[in-house]
Amino acid sequence: MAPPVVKKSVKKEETPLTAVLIADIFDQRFTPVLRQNESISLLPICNVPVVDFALSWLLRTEIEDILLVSSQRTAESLKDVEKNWKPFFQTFSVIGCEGARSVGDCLREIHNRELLKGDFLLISNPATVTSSTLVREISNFRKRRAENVDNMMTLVYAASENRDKSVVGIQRETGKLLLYHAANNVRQLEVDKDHFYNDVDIRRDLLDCGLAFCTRLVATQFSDNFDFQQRDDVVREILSKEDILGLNIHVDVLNSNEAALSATDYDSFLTLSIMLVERWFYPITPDKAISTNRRTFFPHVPIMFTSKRLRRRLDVYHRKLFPTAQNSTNSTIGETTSIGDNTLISRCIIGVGCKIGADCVIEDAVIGDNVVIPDGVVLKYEVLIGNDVKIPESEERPPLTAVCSTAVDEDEFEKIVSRPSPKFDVHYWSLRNGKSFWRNGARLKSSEGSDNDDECNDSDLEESDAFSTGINDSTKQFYEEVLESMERILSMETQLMQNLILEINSSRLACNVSMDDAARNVFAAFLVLPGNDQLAQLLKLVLKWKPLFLNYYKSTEEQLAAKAPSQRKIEIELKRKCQIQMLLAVEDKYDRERAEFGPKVPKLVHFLYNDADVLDEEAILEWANTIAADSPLKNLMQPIVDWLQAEDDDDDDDE
Amino acid sequence: MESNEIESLRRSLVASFRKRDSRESSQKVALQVINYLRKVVLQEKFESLHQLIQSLHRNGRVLSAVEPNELIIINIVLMVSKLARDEAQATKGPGSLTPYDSLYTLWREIGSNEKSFNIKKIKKDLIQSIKEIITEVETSRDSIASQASELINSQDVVLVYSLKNSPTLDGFLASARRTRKYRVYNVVKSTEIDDSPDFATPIQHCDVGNKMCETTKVVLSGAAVFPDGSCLVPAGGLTIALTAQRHSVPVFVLAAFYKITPFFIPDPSALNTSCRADIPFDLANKLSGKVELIQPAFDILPSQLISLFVSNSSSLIPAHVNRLKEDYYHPQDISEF
Repeated sequence: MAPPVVKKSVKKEETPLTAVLIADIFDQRFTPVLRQNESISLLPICNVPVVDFALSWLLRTEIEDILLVSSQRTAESLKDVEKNWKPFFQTFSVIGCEGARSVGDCLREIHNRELLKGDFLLISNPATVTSSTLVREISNFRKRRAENVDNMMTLVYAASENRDKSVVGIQRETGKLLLYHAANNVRQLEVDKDHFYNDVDIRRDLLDCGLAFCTRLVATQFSDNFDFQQRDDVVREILSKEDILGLNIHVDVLNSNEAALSATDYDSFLTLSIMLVERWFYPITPDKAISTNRRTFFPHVPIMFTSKRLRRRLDVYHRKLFPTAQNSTNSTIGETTSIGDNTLISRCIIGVGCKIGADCVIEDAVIGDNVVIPDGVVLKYEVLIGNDVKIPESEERPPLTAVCSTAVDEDEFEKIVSRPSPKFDVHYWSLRNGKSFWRNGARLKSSEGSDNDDECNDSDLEESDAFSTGINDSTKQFYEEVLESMERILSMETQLMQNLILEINSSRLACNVSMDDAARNVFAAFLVLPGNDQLAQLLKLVLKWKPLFLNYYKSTEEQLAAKAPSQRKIEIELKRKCQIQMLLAVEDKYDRERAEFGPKVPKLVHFLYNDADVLDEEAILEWANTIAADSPLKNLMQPIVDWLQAEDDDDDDDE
Repeated sequence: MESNEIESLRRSLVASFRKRDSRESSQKVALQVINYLRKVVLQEKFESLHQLIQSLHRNGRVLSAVEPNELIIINIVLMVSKLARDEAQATKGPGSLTPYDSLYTLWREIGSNEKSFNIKKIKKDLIQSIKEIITEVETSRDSIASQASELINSQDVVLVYSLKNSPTLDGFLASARRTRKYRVYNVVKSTEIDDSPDFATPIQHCDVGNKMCETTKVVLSGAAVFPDGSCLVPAGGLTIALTAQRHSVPVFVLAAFYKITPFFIPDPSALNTSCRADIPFDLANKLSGKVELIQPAFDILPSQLISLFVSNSSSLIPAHVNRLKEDYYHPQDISEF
């Protein structure tokens, strides 16, 4: 720790910036190439842990205080990083956040622990490299801060087209960010007419390099909104509430010759690796990022294959190591890895201690440590191999899988499934949503949030047969949430209907479902609850959960009395509609499982009318009328309809 | 084995290497390394000369592993280790020998008595001679500049390159300006034309051929001098030197003594000193992995293109570099390192 005297002298001029470097990408796609509890920041790029590059360029900026934030699970593996880099900065601390699953969680944690003293540079990804010293950007940020305290964030972009063609709108004069792409489609902007008058540049030629200068307000935003996962959530929040909050975000674009790149998936890791080998980030180069305790001696350079001429230039050292892998390009090979004759390697990151046989073809691959690849194996297109794998000679790798030596810990990585190979000692991992490990979709940012979206959509597709057609996404989501809440309540000892109603209501608001849809889906969910396939059980539960149904489908006398007479009628009408929806839910279920459910329908309806007193006579009759004439349900319901009508007549007679 | 203080010293040295934006002047690097080694010698405890030299070499290896393309680090380490040997020799007095003495003296060798001499005295003397070296490095720039009036005549037209990055070259020209009246062509990149100082006419690389007819002297700043008389100059220097040879214009290379490298590196790219191509990042992003842009930091200048090395002690022709090398390095160090 530096003595406080030094800090004071700095403070006089400018408040020092802290760098908050998030050491995790929070993407389970990276699990196959990492060891147990190993942080993604230790993934080697050009045989150097990727976080070393980030710290190397931070060393060149004026920033003296570093917070390396990771989840508790991986914090242990960052001990070495801390030991190596601590002497280079004034303060350097590794912070493990218990159970952190997103950038947002990390920021909330450090905000709660009050580790942030002032403004900070947020680097939301350890695989961020820039050749800039950010002098201009830092001074711009400070100037804006001095002008207006509400200028709370400056995003740093590199002047380069991006892979995803994401768009932003920036005010030309001030650099103020006005438009930011939507979460689910980075190519889309919502533009008002005003924006065209106000000198707004809509730019698609900017690359988000994962750097943002933030004031403490940003951290506050994260802790105020518990659902914020990543930086972009804050950006959108501030833009959408600009009128209320009055906060501004600015954009700074790096000089055109300053490079900056943030890698978020295997594809961009490969790109980053190639660019570093070709020294596009000079003076941040692989040979300089090596920290002091690694003993690589002059004139050793990281072993690299680049294009032909560069390779010849680097040959001094590794000609004797790889005499025959002559046509290989754009790859980095770990130390003590051996390569057989006539093997072709291109666009690969290969770990240490691998044994690669002769006549192999390996393209587009990320390969871990100590992997054995026998002669003549062809691995092409998005190959992912974990540590210590012995690749089987004669077995075809299933598409979209990663080859690993052990089964996945599904409790911890719930998005991945693995299955063992029938003949060999390997496991094939794949993503549960059936997507590729290689790219994280059309989005630049990977996050829990966006992955969840993916999964929702995917599982919806699978379960779409469980629904009749014509129900949109939000209703499906509502149905699922309700079902989940119900299952949880059911499993509890004291089944508090009040809580369930509260949960259902909040789900309804969150998913923005109409009252009709809500009524229908609540009952549909109720019907599929475990145990409810037995009629007796079902009826028992109906009685037990009666308060729930009364809440949604029936108005009590007191409720009606409390309302104005004009309202009363609307209320009754509304509840009647809900009851019809309830019956429609029954019909839906009947349509799906005619044989099993069919006989139960009349009994259920009768029970709901008679014993539970949830349904009204009018609703049942109205619904019965809507049943298609050729449906067997019509026949099943006929006795009840007849009986109800008879009762009705009796009532009339009585009068 | 190593004290923590040395460790932290080394780290702060490495940090200062890493922190700099672009490469600092070589003089500064040399001074940093010497000062570091001085502290190593002061703080560590040695029992024999062998230990001392081993320790110096070990530190040198670690430093050069961190900065693999900084030849000066190795130069300085070997120089200090040679000084240590010299001091030991002086303590032992005449009569003691090394395997590199002449055959005649070797023949008379009686047997070494390494343990008998006083290591404390060697240490003290070594610190003294390290201080002398520091002074020598500090004054090297001035001593090179002081030779300017002998090398540049009135009415000369001098063509220089990479003036911006070389304070030595700047000092050399300034010193000549005091007594002589001459013109300077400064070869610059097209983007740097405005940065050229007033006394020099900026020209671009493509104009070197034209202007060489008028030029009477070419002065370059060397980055490293090899024993065979070749040297490393900033990339682009080779074409200038070749043009100069074509027009029979003498080429001077300014290089202080600490730039003389004891071993020859045939391929400068082995140093991995290429820098970034000066093109927009946008293009870089699209081109990475598809094309190859070689942007070496240095050119190697063969000895026949060089007329004279201007070092701090004297000016010498390339053939004499090997001789000068012996003054600063011990053969055993070179083979052992």
